[in-house]
Amino acid sequence: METLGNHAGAEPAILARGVWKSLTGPPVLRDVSLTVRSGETLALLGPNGAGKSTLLHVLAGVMRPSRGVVVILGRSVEDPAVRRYIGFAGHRSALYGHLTAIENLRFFADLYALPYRHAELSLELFGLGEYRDTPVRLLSRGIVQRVSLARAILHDPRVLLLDEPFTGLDASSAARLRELLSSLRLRGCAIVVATHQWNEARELADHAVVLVGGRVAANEPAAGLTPDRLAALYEERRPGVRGPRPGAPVYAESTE
Amino acid sequence: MRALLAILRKDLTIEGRARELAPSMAVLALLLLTAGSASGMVNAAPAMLWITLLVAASLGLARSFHQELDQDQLSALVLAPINPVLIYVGKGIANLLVMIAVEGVTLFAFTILYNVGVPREPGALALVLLLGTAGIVMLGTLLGAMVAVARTREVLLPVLLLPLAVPLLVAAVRATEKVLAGQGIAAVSSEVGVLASFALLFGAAPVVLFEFVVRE
Repeated sequence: METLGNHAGAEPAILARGVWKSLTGPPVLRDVSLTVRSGETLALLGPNGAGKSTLLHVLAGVMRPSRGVVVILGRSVEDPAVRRYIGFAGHRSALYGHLTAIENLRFFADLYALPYRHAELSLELFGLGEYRDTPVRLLSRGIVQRVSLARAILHDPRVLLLDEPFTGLDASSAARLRELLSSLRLRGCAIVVATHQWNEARELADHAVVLVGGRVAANEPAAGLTPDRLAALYEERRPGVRGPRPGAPVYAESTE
Repeated sequence: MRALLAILRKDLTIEGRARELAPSMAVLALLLLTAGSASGMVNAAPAMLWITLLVAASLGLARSFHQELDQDQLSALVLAPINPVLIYVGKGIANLLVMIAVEGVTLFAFTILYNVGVPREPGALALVLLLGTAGIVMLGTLLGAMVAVARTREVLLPVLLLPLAVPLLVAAVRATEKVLAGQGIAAVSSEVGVLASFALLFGAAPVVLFEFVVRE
């Protein structure tokens, strides 16, 4: 637990090196490398099918990479001790429809050996008090998304991986989430947010990694992102295209 | 222990509210027993009982892991700082309790339709039923996890479960036959040994296999 407990900003909180992942058919991830330090937010951009969700699953340790390594807080993601420090909210809610919002959060509090007040606090944090005792299957998509996010941060993770977290949120919930992510960052949490929105990435993130066809097409400061830049990256690194057009600038971090 | 109880409580609460598994398993069991009785299978009552229980279990167990996949709940479970084997054990115990409830209904119908009285040693019958059911449920829970992501899981599970459960089925039928004929526990010790080995094997195998199954 030495590295986990004392982990500071010097070493990357998230380190992926040469990650490949095949499910069925051609590889979904191809030689992906990235780093995120504690207190940093990384935006993961890419068109549909680029491999963003798969990469988040691999970074969370839910899927094993076919090749390559993932290190979280100085330990291999395969190390069970790492799991306690990771918060993950995927594209789907990971909630049980027949349980109420509070029952879902209490269930996960049980799994993390946390007092039930963490469940209550998480609900409050997302303004979900009035939906506390409503079965999740009866909640709207936006509310389910908020409960799902409350579940992901229930155990105060030091690495937070979010797949399209703003989908379905209304303006005030989205603002609340931005505030929360900002406060988690200040407390040293390393955050990866997969998104389709370049402006969201610019607003939230320090860095942006653009995935196209499972490869890192760019890894650069998020402030430099523009729609034109993204469109150019998507075009020049379509699946099957081996590299950038001659002369085109590419900021890929690759171990190839 | 807290995580195990949480998984068990969660599965039973969901089944209590959704009523997805037990009612359909019980209805199927009653239909099979009634069909067997109407076809003059009364002489093969123990075989009908166990075939009914096995087929009903295969129906329910195919759906058991599906509830962990429709919203990718399995990823959140695997990410929790618990031994993944607890997921299997918790779900296995929940499945066993649901199966025992279905068995209660099945046995009631069985005694009426097949004109079966209370055996001389009811404890021996209870032991055979418990071990046989535990073996089916443990094997079925493991196979259910393996086929959960397959689109054809409801077909695939019986295809895998029924042949693998043949040794258990044979031992359970023989033991039930003997107990219903008035023989005691000593007469069925070898069959009880087979049933206990089956339950132990598929209760223990996931300690090695389950993490691989859920992560891949």
